[in-house]
Order: sequence, then C-alpha cells, then structure tokens
Amino acid sequence: MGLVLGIETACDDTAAAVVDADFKVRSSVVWGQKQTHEAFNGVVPELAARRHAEVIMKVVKQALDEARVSLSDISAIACNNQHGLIRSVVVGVSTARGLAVSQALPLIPVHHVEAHIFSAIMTNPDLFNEHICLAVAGGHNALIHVHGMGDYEVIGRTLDDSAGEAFDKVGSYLGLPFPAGAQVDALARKGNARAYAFPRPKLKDGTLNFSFSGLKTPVRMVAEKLQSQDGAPDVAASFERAVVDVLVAKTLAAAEQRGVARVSVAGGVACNTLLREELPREAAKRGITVTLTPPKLCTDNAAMVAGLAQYKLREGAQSTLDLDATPNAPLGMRAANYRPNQAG
Amino acid sequence: MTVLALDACGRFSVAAIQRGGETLYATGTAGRGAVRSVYSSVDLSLERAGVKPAELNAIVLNTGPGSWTATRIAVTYCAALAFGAGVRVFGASGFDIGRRLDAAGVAFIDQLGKTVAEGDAAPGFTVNLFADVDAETYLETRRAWLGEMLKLGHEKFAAGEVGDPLELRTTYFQEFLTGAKR
Repeated sequence: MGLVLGIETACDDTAAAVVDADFKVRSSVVWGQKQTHEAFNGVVPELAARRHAEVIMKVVKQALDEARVSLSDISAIACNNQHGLIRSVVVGVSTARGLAVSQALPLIPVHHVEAHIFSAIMTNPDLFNEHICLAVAGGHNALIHVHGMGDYEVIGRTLDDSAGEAFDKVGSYLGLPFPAGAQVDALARKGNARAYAFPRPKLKDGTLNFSFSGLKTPVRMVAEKLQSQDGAPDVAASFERAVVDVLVAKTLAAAEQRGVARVSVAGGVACNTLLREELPREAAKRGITVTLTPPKLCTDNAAMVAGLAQYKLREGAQSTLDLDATPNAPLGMRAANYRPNQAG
Repeated sequence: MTVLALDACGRFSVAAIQRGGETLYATGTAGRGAVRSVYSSVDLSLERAGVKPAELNAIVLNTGPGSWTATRIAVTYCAALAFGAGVRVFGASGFDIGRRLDAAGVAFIDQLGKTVAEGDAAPGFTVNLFADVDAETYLETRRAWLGEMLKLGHEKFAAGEVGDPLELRTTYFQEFLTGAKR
C-alpha cells in the first residue's frame, strides 16, 4: 500500500495530510478558523461548515504539494465520517468521495476518536497492544481501554463538559480570545496553582467518569471579582491544577483497575504543559509508562485519519462509496452504546 | 464535448449529461437529507452516459441559493471531482440561471414550484411546494433549467474560463439581499 490522503473536518479545523505505509507523515496541513468564531466565544456550526467548504480544496492541494505528490500518486482516500459537527463532517465526506470517484481510488471512512487513539499509536508502536487511552479535547473526554486495534471499551467519560470546553470557557472569563486552551496554559505558567482551592469534581466518587461543568462556576465567580488582570495567572494556574489533578488521578486509577501498565494521552488537551509533566511523573511512581502524543498530532489533524486508514487497509479494510456522515457513531464494538459526550 | 450539469438546490438532486448531441437526465434517490441524492445523481449520470470523470470537459452546477447542506455537498463534491479528474468546473447562481431563461423567453418552473413566464423571473429559494412530488416528477420540472445550465457550461468552456475547482463557492441568499451579488 502506498500513500493515503486523509481529510478531517470534525469541528472547526480543515485538515488534509499524506501518510505513507510506515505511518510517516509526509505532509499535514491544518487550516484553523479562529477569526471566524472568536466573536462568539465558541464554534458556530453553520459558519464552521461554510469555512470548511471554502478552503477544503486549497488545503487538500497544499497537503499534496507539501508531500511533493499529485493525486495520481495516492493509493487511497480516507476521511472522518463518524464524529463531530454534522455540517462540518459532510464537507469532508463529500470532498473525500469526490476525490475517490475522480480517480477510482479506495475510500476508507474512520472514526475521529479512534483516529485520536491512533495518533498515540503512530508515536509508539507498543500501543498496538493493550493500553488505556485518555482522549481529551474540546469535543470529547473519555478513558478508553484499548484491548487491541478496533477493540475499544469506554470505561470513563464526561457527564457534561469536556476538559477542553472548560479551558475555553475559563479563558473567556479571563478575557482571553477563543479558543483559549493554549493561552490559559501559558497564563498558568506565570501563576500560583495554590492561590485558589477550586473543586476537583468527581475525584473521589469511585467511578472513572468526569464532570467539568461544575468547576466553571467557582472559577467564573473568582474571575469576576478580579480587580485587574494581574490576578488572572493565579486563577488560570489554580483552575488548570484542578483539571489536571482529576485527569491524572482518573487515568492512573483506570490503569490500576484494569491491570494495564501502558497509558496514552491524545486530543487537544494533551498539549497542556502541566498534564504532560504530571501524568508521566505520577505514572512512573506506579510503574506505568505514558506515551504523550506529539502536539502536532494532538489537536485535530488529518495525519491521524490517514494513519488509521493505512492500518485498516493493511488489515484488509474494504473501500466503500456508500458512506454517510454519522457524527454520533459508537466507538468500537464493545462500546456500542457509547456516544463520546453523552452522559449515562 | 461532454458536460455534466448538477442542481442540488431543490427537493431532489438532479443532473444532466450532454455528450455530442445527446442529453441524458438523472435524478438522485431520496436519502437522508439530500446527501445520497447528490452522489447518486452524479454517479447515475456518468454511468448512463458511460463516461468516466476524466472524460468530462466541464462540470457546471447551481451554487445556490438553496438547501444549505445539499448545495454545500454539491459544491464540495463537484470541486473535488473536478480537481481529481482535471476537469473545469463552473458555478452559476440560481438567479443567474433564472435570468438567462427569462431573457430567452423560456417559461420554467422555479424552486417555489410555480411557472415563471417571460418578464416575471423570480427564482425562489425554498422547496416547500415540491414536498409531495416524487423524484421523477421533480426532474420533469427541471429539464429546461438543466438544459440552460448545460448551455452555460458550453459557453464558459468555449470562452476559455478557467473553472478552477479551488475557487468554487456556494451562493447564499443573503448575498443577494445585501446586494453583494446583484
């Protein structure tokens, strides 16, 4: 199998990438929509879809150009059709199908969250074996027991907001432009994480589930009382510490409960500095190894989509032109009832 | 010369393909929303004409106004098809097509489902009055429309227009309200 061209349009990033049979990323282009959604402090689905449609072909061309190939050098097309905002997802699906039909290429559909899981596997092939994956971003927040490729068991999930969503909202309380995750992280580096004792939701409830909605309120109350921006770093640091404490504790509890000594972290929040420091440190104390997905593969990207499709093709996946956008599709057979951000 | 015309702005996606002097029409099957309808109308057109995408000279499509999702799918699907096959792709708004028909004195059925006579061109942007018709009946009402689109494709091709798939855009009704496209 040669090169796979991947396309990803789950939310507000338009992405295309070329990945080879050894999972080497030959190109990865991500076109963000920060300016489009900044005024709304969140992603507006219809506007996101419009922007995707405007730029998707340019992004595809750039990905091919940066990989120094043409479409005739591509062996298969892959796209996420199983998670995200439906209006955005259909843009990626229709583009991928059009490219596949134009050159009679195989078309491989993939699940966005599975692609995030695979982004860690692309980093460390040991993860083809059993491990626990903390998949944490703006649109999903789950602990997944990866029994093997394609065999996933969701053992923890958020009951309301994802951690990424909480980062963005707290950023807005502190006057930071959307999306604020990276900026809250930067601000937190200058602050005192012990300045405020924010709650650690569900830390000791005995489950592997998360809840970040309730954390936002006390942070907002503190942020509203700030006399100046001078206090913002302390709020950011204290909030970040609370989130990371919960993520780390639940992830390690999952590994210990399941008797699994390998953990991976994927998704946009996996870029967070404190999480990248704390999780390996605490895991090492328990003899657990942690694979941190490189930041470029953490946020939404198409390299993970193309990489996963490479694996699926190797395992005999069949091409299908009969695909629809099913943005709330379950992840894997064991989790047939799982919807990434659905409570219960 | 072979030209494919696609209109996904209404109740169903309809397509026509013209090869030499022959024109073949196709309509998509009604699926969830218009997604499958867009794909199937294009696939069926190519299949009936025995044409591969790379054998097309041009694709011309209605870029809207119309159903947001179906129109967007049509635009991105055609852009990708054209890019991959190395074919020129031309977009035209529903207003442009309606005006051409009106100027030619051709009565046609607009997307509101009413017959528009000469001098009364007012192409609509909703599909409610077609809610009860089946795909074949709908296609019958769109033949003149598709024929004009094919003619437009021929003209743009002959004029040497670039038809760059990277520049294909959806047309939104708001753009007309604000005068951006009038």
